[in-house]
Amino acid sequence: MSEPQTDSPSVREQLEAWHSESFAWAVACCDHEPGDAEDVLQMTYLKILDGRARFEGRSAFKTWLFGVVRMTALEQRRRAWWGWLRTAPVEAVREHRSLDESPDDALARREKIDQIRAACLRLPSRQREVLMLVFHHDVTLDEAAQIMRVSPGSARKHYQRGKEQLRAWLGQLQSA
Amino acid sequence: MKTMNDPQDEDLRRQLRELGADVERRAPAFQRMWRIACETRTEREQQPGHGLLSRVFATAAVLVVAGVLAVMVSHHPIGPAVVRDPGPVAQAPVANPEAFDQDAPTDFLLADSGPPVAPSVDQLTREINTLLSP
Repeated sequence: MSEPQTDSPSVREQLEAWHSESFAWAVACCDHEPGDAEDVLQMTYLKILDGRARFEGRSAFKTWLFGVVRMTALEQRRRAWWGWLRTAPVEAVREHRSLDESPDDALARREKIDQIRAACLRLPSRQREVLMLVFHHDVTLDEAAQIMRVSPGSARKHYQRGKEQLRAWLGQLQSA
Repeated sequence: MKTMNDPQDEDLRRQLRELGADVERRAPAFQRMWRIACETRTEREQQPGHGLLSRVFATAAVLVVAGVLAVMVSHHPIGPAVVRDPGPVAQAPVANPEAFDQDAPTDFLLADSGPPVAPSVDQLTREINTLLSP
C-alpha cells in the first residue's frame, strides 16, 4: 500500500485555497469561537499531514475537507484537554475597515453582523451548520448532508426549520 | 439536491454571507498554521515512543495481558452454579401470652361487677395461636 500523499504540493495548495472558508466553517462548528476554531483547523491540518485523514477522491475536495473539520470539531468538543496544541497565541482580532468606510458606518456594520451572529447562535447547531454551508459556502443540500453525516432528508428538514426560524428572528431585529 | 431560489432567501443569503465574510477576514495566516502542523508532525515522529518499536511494544503488552488472563481463567475454571441451602424457613412469629399477663396498677378501675363482656387477653392470645398454628 502506498503512503498517502498528504503533504504533496497539490494537497497543500488546495488547503491554502480553501483556508479562509475552512476557518469560517470551523468557526460555525465551534459556536463562533475563533480561538477554538483555530485549534480545530490546526488539528485538521495535522490529521491530513500524518495521514489520519486522507482524501480519496470520493467527493469534492471541499466536501471532504469540511467533513474532516466538522469531525475534528466534534472530537475536540468531547475532549477537555485541547489546550495542548496551542503552540501559538491566537492572533489578535483585527478590525477590518475599508478606507472608504466612515467609523460610524463601520460601527453600524459591526453591530449588524453581531446581531446576525447572535441570531445564528440561537439556532440548534445542525440548523446553523446547514444554513452556513448552503448560504455562505455555496454547497448543495446533498453535499451539506455528506459533510454533516446526516441523510439528505434530515439536512433538508434542518435547512427549512433553520431558515424559517432565522428569518423570523432577523425580521424581529430589523423591525425593532 | 439543489436548494430552490426562493426570493425570500436572498436576504438571508446576503446576511449570512456578510457574517461568513467577516469571519474569513479574521482567518489566521495559512503559512503559520501549516508550519506549526509540519513541526508538530516532525516532533511526534522523533519522539522515542513513535514508530515501529512502539507498535511492537504495544502488541507485546496486549499479548502479555491476554496470556495472564488466559492463565487466570484456566486455574479458576468456571464450575456449575452452586445452589446454596436457604436454611430453615422463617416461621411466623408466635404471640407470647406471658407478655400480656402483666397487671397494671390501675386495672382495678376497669373492673365491673357484671359478667365479662370479652374474653380475657390470655384466652384471646391462646385462640389466636390456635388459629395461626398449621
